[in-house]
Amino acid sequence: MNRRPVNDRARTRTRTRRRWRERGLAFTLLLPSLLVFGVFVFYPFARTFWLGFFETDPFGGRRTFVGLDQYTDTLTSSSFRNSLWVTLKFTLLTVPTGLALGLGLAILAHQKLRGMGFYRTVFSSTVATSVAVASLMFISLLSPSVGLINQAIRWFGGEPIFFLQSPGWALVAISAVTVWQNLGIIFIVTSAGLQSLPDDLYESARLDGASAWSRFVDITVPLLSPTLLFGFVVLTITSFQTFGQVDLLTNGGPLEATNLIVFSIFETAFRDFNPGSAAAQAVVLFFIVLVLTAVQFKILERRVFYGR
Amino acid sequence: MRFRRRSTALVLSLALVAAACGGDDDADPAPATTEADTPAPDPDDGPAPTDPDSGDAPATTAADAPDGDPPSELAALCPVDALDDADGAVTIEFWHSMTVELEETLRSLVTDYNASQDRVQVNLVFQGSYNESLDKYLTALRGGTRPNIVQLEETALQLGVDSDGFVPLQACVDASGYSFDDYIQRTVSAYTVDDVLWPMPFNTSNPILYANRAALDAAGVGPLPTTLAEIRTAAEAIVESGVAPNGLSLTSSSWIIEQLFGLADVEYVNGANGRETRATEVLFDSELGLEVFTWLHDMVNDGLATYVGSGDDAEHFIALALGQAAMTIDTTAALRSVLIGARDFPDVQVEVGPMPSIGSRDGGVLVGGAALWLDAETSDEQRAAAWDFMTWLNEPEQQATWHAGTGYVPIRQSAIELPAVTDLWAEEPEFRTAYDQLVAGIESSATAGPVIGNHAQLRERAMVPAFEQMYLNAMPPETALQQAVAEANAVIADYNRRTGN
Repeated sequence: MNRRPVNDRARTRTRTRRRWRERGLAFTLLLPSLLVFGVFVFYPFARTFWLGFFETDPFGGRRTFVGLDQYTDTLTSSSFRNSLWVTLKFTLLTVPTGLALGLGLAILAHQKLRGMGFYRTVFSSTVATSVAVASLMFISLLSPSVGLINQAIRWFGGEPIFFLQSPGWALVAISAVTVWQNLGIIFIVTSAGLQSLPDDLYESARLDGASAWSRFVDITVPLLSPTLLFGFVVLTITSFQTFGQVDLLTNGGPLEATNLIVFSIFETAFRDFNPGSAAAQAVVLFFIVLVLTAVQFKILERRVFYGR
Repeated sequence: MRFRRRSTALVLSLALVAAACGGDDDADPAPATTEADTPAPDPDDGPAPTDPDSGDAPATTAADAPDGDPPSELAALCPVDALDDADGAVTIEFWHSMTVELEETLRSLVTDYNASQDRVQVNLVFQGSYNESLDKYLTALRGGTRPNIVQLEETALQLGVDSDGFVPLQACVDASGYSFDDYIQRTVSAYTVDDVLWPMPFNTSNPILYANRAALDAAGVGPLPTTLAEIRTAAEAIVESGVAPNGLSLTSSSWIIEQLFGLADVEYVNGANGRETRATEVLFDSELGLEVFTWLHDMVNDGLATYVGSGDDAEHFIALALGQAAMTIDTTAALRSVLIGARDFPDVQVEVGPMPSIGSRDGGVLVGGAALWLDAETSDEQRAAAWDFMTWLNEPEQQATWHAGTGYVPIRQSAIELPAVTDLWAEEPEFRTAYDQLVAGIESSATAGPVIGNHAQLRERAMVPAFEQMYLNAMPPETALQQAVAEANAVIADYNRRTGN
């Protein structure tokens, strides 16, 4: 009667000790990454949050505590809401198109034909192109007077289109650059996904008389769903972070039609020279992306097929 | 590049957040300009007005100008003889924003200077556009490597004064007894606030009218238009005759609009254009302002002008080259590049004329371009070296070379008698347009140009959107003007509040 509790206690003690030792080990192993994250992620983040409480002069000298003012200003400013709206439109324009085109190319290239390696290289090459190069290429396509597209339009007797100077076209133009840039990565990821799909499934489907379309919809898409979810989330996040194309092609204009949220933060920080307000906007953006990503995972994960 | 795994994306979004705070890792709201290692008095101690009468320190120089300091204290900031005591050559770093022909000319001038003497070595560093260079400088103020000389656009005047980052060059003028007698006086007044000269005038420009003479002839247009009304008449002739689909190619530049006010001798902001007291509001909420806005609105909406965007991509000149329009207005600093570019277009015959006015030419064109600022975190020897270099750069010979290579106005009166300039003007008379209209202007607070805190932002946030509303959405000029005025006053108020003024 007496022994058991003693034994139990001793066992508990050893277990506790072991647990502590494990925790110590775990902490030691985590320390390097904690340090890196601390210095480069958590500290800047906390500091940004803190900076958002202060109104700052352009020279970083004068700081006045203004509490939550800059956060409420951000949330109520029509310019910031416009940026959110533009970013949302941009996401809708780029993410589904990018995914569909990337997947389409991957399926086209997923055939055992001679010379396919060349096409694969071409299709994935946009990964190796920088935003600056892509933007310059599109300038040479879209410029109203010297752009290839407008020269063609003029050759056919039409009126040139001011792609980057008209509010109706500018966001579409920026989206086109982005979709083109994203093609490469989506192509690579979905190609890799396609390679891993078991051939026997397709064989038996073919034996059962399934059409190409039904093989695509009933086999490829469900089996590829983890990859597609990954692509979807990544594209959404990058679309919320898009900056280079806007800076190089339209500067947020015309009439804020392409004033994506990160560009608006940049303008506040480096054109208004207002770091405090920019910090507040950045924090708001962080929470938006956080919530959006969480929602995407919650809703979409249920529909994703991760295998048997 | 575009591919980021989720965690990476998170890291990046946070890094971006960090970037948004401008990388100031110093939690203390310490003033940015402490030059503990500089023996010379800190500019924080106050550049004194040279004129003892102005001891009642108008607000423009703000906190940095305490009353009644004797001029000698300012002179102490710039020990111009310090070069004599230096061991070996003194190296100074010069941040500039010149591109293509302008950069080539500047580079060859600096090479000449370095070769002409052995006491100073100037290192030229390109820092991107004026805006980008200013960004970098302000970031460096919060803790970073600062240059000794930085070239800032004329719109940065108030920012430069407020930043506490610079030595006012009045110090060097006082210390050396330098004379500006041979300068075009207005280039000096433009950079003088409250009787203190801040940066050294250098590349000086103003806008001129560029036209394709071949197209004007085909449309039966005689001499170049000199007023907005005449531009409209010429544009109507061009469009009606079918010579080009538009008369004028128009950018969103509000610099050109400011010039119209200077030409009419009308102040743009209060406080005597921000030169006596700090500007708190714009003054173009007037009949004149409405006249300008209405003209702009009608030109575009009546199909006489084509709006081509910011003009940073030279789209307004390309439109001329390709026959989409026959006239445009831009800086004289583009002249050399335009003349070179036009050689490829046999149908284009470049003709230039003075900046058109609203009607009145009682004032004069404003001094545009940029000036050279002396950073305060600069040793005695380097200050002396920088002063030596800047005065060399503005000598008549160098100004003549600079003018011929770029189209910028030579700011020395005697420069125009040198063969480099007389030969040029004989061969390419286009180059004298900007000089002539600059010296024709009178001295007044209106023609000295507006001094506005964050002037560049006022253009971007207030003027460009109002113009674009008129051009792209046909917003009535009255509404656009009201919008511009409200936005501009908000930008000024925001800047003044944040800087504690």
